[in-house]
Amino acid sequence: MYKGTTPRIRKVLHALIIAFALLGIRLVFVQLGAAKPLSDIASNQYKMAISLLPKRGVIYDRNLKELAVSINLNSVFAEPFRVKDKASASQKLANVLGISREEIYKKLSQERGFVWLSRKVSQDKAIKVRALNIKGIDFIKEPQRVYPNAMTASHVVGFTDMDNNGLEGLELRFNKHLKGVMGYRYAVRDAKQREVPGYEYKELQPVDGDSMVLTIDGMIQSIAERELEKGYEKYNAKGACIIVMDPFTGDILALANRPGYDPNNVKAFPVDYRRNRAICDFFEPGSSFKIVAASGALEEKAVRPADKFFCENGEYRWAGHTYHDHTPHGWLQFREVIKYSSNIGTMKAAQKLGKDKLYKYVKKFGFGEKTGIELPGEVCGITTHPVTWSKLSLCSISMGQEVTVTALQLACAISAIANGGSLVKPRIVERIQAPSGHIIRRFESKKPQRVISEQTAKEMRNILRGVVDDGTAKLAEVDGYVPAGKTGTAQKVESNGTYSHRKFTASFIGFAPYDKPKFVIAVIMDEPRPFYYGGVVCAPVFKNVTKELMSYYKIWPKEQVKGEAKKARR
Amino acid sequence: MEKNQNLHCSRILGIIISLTFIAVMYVNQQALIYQMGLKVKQNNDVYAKLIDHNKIMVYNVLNLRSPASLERKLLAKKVELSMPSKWQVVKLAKKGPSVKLFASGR
Repeated sequence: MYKGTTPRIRKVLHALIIAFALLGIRLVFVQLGAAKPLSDIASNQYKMAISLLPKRGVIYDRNLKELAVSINLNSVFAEPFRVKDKASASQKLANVLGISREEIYKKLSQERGFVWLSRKVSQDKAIKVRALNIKGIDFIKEPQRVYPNAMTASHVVGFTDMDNNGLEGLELRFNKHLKGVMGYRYAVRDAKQREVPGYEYKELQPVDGDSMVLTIDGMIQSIAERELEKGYEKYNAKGACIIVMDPFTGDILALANRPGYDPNNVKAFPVDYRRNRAICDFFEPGSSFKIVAASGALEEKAVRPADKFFCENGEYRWAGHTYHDHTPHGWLQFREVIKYSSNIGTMKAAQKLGKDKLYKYVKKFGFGEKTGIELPGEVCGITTHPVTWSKLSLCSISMGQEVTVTALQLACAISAIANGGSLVKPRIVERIQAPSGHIIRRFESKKPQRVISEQTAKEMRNILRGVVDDGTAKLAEVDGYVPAGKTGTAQKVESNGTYSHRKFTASFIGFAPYDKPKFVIAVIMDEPRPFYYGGVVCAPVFKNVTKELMSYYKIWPKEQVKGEAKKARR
Repeated sequence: MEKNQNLHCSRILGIIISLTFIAVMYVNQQALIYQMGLKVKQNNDVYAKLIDHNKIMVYNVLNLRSPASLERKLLAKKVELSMPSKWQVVKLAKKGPSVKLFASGR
């Protein structure tokens, strides 16, 4: 074999044979022994997974007007190792992004491959940053939740965080539906970490979030917010809320709170402003709760509207405690007891009803239980069982003390009187639908529970009409329409457990027109100043909203209604 | 013998040329795929950008026509709107047969 070859060539040949043998052994080792880990390392080097973000579902009002939508904005990031002149880049970026130069420099000096500089910047800023043409600075598109109506319905809709997770309101409660499912594209990347187009080897499409249609009417919401704001500012209240509701279906047409916040710029407002007072705050309702004792007493036939009660000229001693009326009265018919909001008259009616029956009606009207509305954070208020009641409790509860309620519970209770005696379950979400329009879930109105008979409800509507016509809520009267309702002014409890003489909760719950109610409205103000009566601070808000809603519903004012209504009540 | 060797050499040369041609074609095909992918990506980017722009414009329109925004503008211009009184409204009769006839041009 080696014939005719020189020893040197032979040596080279031997060396080559040994080298190839070693390579062969290595090949066998690589192919059989270390194939898996090595192929994993290789695939990690050239394969990449790109997240495909789903579109968050849209939130619509009942007329399909958008309350919350998503748009894509640019987020600015840096690859610090690629930025050459960090000091100069920091200065330029600081001028455009509105962040301090030091902060940007600190980020660019980090020994990391990727660092966010500013997320979800406006279009103008993105254009300016792009124009700087700094190597190592790039953009990623990210969806941003935006709310075209700004503060309007902010407590209902809520808001999301930077990563599009719901943090408040319906955005939080239905986050799972709205968010959608993230998709991925597995692709090949080049040496500069860029995706090589046309070499995707697997793609999982993202599933867009479902959309929601609410029962809220954007126009009614806007009217309610505007009028509430006026009242809240005029009376320097600590807080306020308003609910407009369809008494027959339980649909919430508007729900607003003050102070409010703009979900487009949440950080600019204190955390406390985000609280949905209409469902999260409970308070002693005061006289507006008299509708419960009055309805119960009429339903159980313990009293009749024309029965007379002696109101002790404004001072009544019961079980060692002296009760007062804000205006002294002598003999009053039961309908006048409610009309003039006499505490003493109501207590005497409640005594005729008895504590077990009063408690029965408190529960029947839905107090002490959550209404089940599809909003997060609802509280149930406090109602105690008669076995724990003191001698004073019957009287106190009948006039709205020793119980705590939410504004929504009050709205539901007055709805029962407005709709003929049935307690409706409120709802704020009408349906959830897929991006294709296919309805995934419909939130049907739940079957109302009968609380009082139609006759009692009618008698109560007439009595409550008297409250507006000639009682404590004259400021709620709307010319040409015939609203009805009940005022409430409750002393708040001080930290030492006594009733305050400076802090009050004012309320007005009502509906219009009184004979064929189209909507109910509950207005609550927390610590209004200097005036604090429900009939003074809340009734005008009710009046203004009612007036505009009647126009919105194209209901023309009746002429001579005042006289007609009086005749009807006689 | 020499003739056979020449035939053998030209066959090997033919195979090498064919293989080279196939390899070049393959590389060319890959380059075309890459170029097409790049074009598709560029078009997709333009499309996505237009969609995003459209969404932002739609959002701006929604923002401008929101009741709160309109109200603010009307107040700034001191324009006060109110519902007309009953006497200011003329109710038109519902479309009856005569109206239909008129509408159809007879």
